[in-house]
Amino acid sequence: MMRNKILKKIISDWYIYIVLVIFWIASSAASPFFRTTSTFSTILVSAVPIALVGLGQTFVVLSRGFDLSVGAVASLATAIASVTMHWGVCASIGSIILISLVIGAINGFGVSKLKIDSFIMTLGMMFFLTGVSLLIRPSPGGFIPTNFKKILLYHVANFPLIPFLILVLAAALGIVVLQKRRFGREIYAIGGDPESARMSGVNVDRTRIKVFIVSALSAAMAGVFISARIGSGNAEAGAPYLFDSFTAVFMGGTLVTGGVGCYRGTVASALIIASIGHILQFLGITIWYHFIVKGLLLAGVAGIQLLIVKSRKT
Amino acid sequence: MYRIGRFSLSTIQPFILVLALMVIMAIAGLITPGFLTFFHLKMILYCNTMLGILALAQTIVILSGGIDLSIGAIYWITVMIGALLMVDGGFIAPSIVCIIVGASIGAINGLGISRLKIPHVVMTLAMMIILTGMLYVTTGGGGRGRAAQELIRLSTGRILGFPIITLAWILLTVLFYAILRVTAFGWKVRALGSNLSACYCSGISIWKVQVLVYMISGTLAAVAGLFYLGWARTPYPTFQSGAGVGANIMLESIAAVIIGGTLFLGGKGGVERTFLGVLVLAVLFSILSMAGLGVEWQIMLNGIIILAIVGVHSRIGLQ
Amino acid sequence: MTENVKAISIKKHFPGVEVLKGVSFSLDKGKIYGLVGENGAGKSTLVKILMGIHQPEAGEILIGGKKARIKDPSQARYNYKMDTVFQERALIPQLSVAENIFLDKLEEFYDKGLINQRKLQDHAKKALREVGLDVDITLPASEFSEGEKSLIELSKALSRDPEILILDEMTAPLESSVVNNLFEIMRKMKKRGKTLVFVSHRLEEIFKICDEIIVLKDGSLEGIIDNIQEEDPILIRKKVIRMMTGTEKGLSFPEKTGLKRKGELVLSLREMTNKWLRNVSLDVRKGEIVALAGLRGQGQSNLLRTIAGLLPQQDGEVYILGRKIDIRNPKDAISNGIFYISDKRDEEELWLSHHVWLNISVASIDNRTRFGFIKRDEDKKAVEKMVSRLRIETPSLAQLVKNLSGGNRQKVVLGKYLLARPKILIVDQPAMGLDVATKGEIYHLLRRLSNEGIPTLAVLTDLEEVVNLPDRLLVMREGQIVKEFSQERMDEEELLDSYYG
Repeated sequence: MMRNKILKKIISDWYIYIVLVIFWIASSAASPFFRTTSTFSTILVSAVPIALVGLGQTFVVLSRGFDLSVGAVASLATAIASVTMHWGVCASIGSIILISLVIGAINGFGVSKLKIDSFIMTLGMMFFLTGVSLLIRPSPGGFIPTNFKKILLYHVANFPLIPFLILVLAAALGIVVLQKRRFGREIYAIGGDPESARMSGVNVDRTRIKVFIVSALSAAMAGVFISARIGSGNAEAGAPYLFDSFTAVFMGGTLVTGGVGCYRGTVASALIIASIGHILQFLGITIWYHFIVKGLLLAGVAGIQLLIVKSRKT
Repeated sequence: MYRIGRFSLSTIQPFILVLALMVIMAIAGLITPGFLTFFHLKMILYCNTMLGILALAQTIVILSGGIDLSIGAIYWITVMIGALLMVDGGFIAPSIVCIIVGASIGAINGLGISRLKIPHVVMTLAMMIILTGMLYVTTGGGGRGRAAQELIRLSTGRILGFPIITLAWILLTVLFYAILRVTAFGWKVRALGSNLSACYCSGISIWKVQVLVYMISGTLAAVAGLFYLGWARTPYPTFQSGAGVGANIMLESIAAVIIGGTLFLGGKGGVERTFLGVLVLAVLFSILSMAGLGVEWQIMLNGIIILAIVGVHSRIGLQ
Repeated sequence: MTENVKAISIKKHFPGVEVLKGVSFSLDKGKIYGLVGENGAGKSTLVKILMGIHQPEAGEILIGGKKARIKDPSQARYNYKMDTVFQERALIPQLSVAENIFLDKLEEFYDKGLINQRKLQDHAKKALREVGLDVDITLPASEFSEGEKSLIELSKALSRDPEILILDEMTAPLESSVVNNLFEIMRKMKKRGKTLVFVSHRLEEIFKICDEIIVLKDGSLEGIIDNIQEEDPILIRKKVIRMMTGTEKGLSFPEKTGLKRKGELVLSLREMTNKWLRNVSLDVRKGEIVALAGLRGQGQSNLLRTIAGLLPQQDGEVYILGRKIDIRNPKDAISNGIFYISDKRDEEELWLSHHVWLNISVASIDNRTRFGFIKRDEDKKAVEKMVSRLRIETPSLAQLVKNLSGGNRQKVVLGKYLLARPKILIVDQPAMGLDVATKGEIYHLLRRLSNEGIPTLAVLTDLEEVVNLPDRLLVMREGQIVKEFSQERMDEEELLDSYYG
């Protein structure tokens, strides 16, 4: 009885990794192009920005919210990077961090103190930031120093070392904070039952503000990484990552209603999402199919989620 | 609840908007003589007809307590499918097919939400992603096909000097205003958005209303898509940087609803308010472009207005 | 000084209803107080005000003789050493028991910046031992029974060593042995000079453990009983029940016409059983008003909700007008003419942000349409008729329900269902929270309806109501019907005795 329960828990916690591995195995079997190191290397690099945006989004969704501004924040980061990097990389990143902190604080303030629905608040912020990004960078371009790119994308014998480390660092931070810091546990509390959390002494408002700050910050970091990858600033670069962030979060096992889930699932989903495009490309299927697959995966996983939650209740 | 005399803020909001609109237009008219001409105002309405119809659809969904994130995708898929089907010169049949497709997608949304209990956000988001994929698969990423002559005449034609499709938008708004007031369905939509539990306990058939609401949304999105196709003549390749097709216009439709004053939580508000919301956005954007400010300012303004309006709502409501 | 907590003229109102009308009392150290009163009497609100979750419109709270400003639960806990085990559990289902217990002090378990699970679990185990609970504290809180959750919350409160502890309806899910443990803990705390407040419907427990009893009724302090041990236990019990549910001056009741003139069978239940009910069988005939009575929480409300299709039925049969029916959801019940009025009017019966017209009309609107279009004149007339028949006080049909008083809201709910032509009304506390005049109106209305052929099955708690309104009275205890009364003149003593069996 006990063994069954533990087994059930392990499966429901880690199933997304099982899906990931099966996906990789199946893909490798289906196409010789897939099972090359360079493919996996590219997948890893592609997954980094998704995982980073997904980090903040996981925090937000867990606390029962939505952050629609993450894509715009990433775009803004690339735009700012492209015009400030000539001052010096550190100054540039420093200013990006500062700005993202302010954005997150505004989002958090609107949601917690003004009681604005997070969907609307971040929607408005998204529009605003997109406009600002276009002002700064009307068309892709700008200056990203080659050294910076080299460092961020540093490979060791075909293996993307730095991107890998970034991924690991993000995963570690995300998982550790959520599981082992008071902040993280309070996030689950708010998402699970905000009233009980308040009655139990959790400062719901302050925690919510911190959550949105984390989200903006991680999206900005994703933007910095993206700017290194594309070598320029681009006001549209972050947009696709908005929906990818939600897909990664939901696929990774975090419930849309919050309170349940964790970052490790998001990371695995980021890898899956990054892999989809490649395998389909190698199979000669037009790259647009990957939208269908993503959509079906999202729906399928949401369905599995519902089933798991329902079975846990009975 | 904040009150001015007997009325709460949400009741007054449309009047404030109208006032603001008139002030803005007056100022614009002083600065740019051509602004207040009938011709120019008609132009503004014409350019925003598609957005207007989508916002209308979104209003109904939001009033019922839901949200349709797939509305932009249905819009674009209609454009693409319509063009493909009309290549051989047909008009009626392809149009009917498009409308049926839109309604069916809406029905699937509605069923997923009401019977399978999938949350509104997840269902319509997944639908949007799936449609994006299907869209690219059927059209290979580039626009193929073109609009039928009849459709082009419809989208660019005028009646008594007034653009036909804009007239259609206004008529649809009036139609749904009436439907919401005068039919049992309309009342149930508002009841649903206002208190779902009460509907359940009172025996109102929730799933029927939800499916119908999303079907209406899909149908209107298809209609808007057809209108756009007639205007653009060929479907412009619409690769929207992978964000999901139609994402922009979908978000704008939500923005128009909010600005118009329909409450996000459903129940209160109306299609006439959204019409006002679209007008406000349209006029502001027009002013911006006349002032030489590009699209980025429009987008920024969108955001600022949304935040200002909900911020004020909440601040006052907190008292 | 021995005085610990003093409340002076606490007033609190929510939209449409005045919940506390100026309550004053004082609590001493080293005493256990019982706080009793019917649903809606204001107990929970009072507790929440003490804990800083609500702010009173008027009145003061003094703690230790000094004026207290309690803005949120953390202030209550840490500034004033006052804690509560709430009626609505305040546990986070997804977090582990250990985390729940120390949720607002997790950083005390940091080891190099990260929560030390070992340390957390050890402390949690220790805290639980204080209340006699030995469970796996790594499991999420959702895995535990209601009783265990109760105790976990208690250990949460005790871990902070409060001076003032309030237990709000804690004992309902607990077994008697556990309750005795609880009482031991309470007595030990009392000896240490703490102040305890025990809120409960279970009068036997109140009498067992409390030194004084504070009785609330309809938002006011009805009285304080401070000589519990000295008087005859039976007398004290009846005195308290009378105070809680007691006599209102000027209530008028219609004649019990259903006693003699009984019509055909409308509703029949046979051996209805589920989680909360045990083999309940009853009949309701035309012309009758049948009431479910007894102490609170004995299954009365759940019986109604099961018939209404809101709670699942595991066994038994339901017949309407002699025909067997299957009720799985509210729609089934309604299509068979069984109309349930919940006691949670705002959440489950009303659309507050909409007008009276919609609230009354929408549930049955399909009856007044042609091809989906509302027949406006017919609809308006029907609603107006209902408004005047029920004497709903509203400036117009377009008035928003949230601006109506509690009594008028209740009438709107009644109007909604009456318009749909029920075969039988099942109501949970039809006159709850209403003023005397409106109560009378409702009673006469129900009687009129039953005379017209629509009987009522109601849960009644007010003693006066129970004695004077229904033709037949079914006393419930622990999910079963234990006694039936059907008398012209109901003997209050006999009735109260039957509550205890």
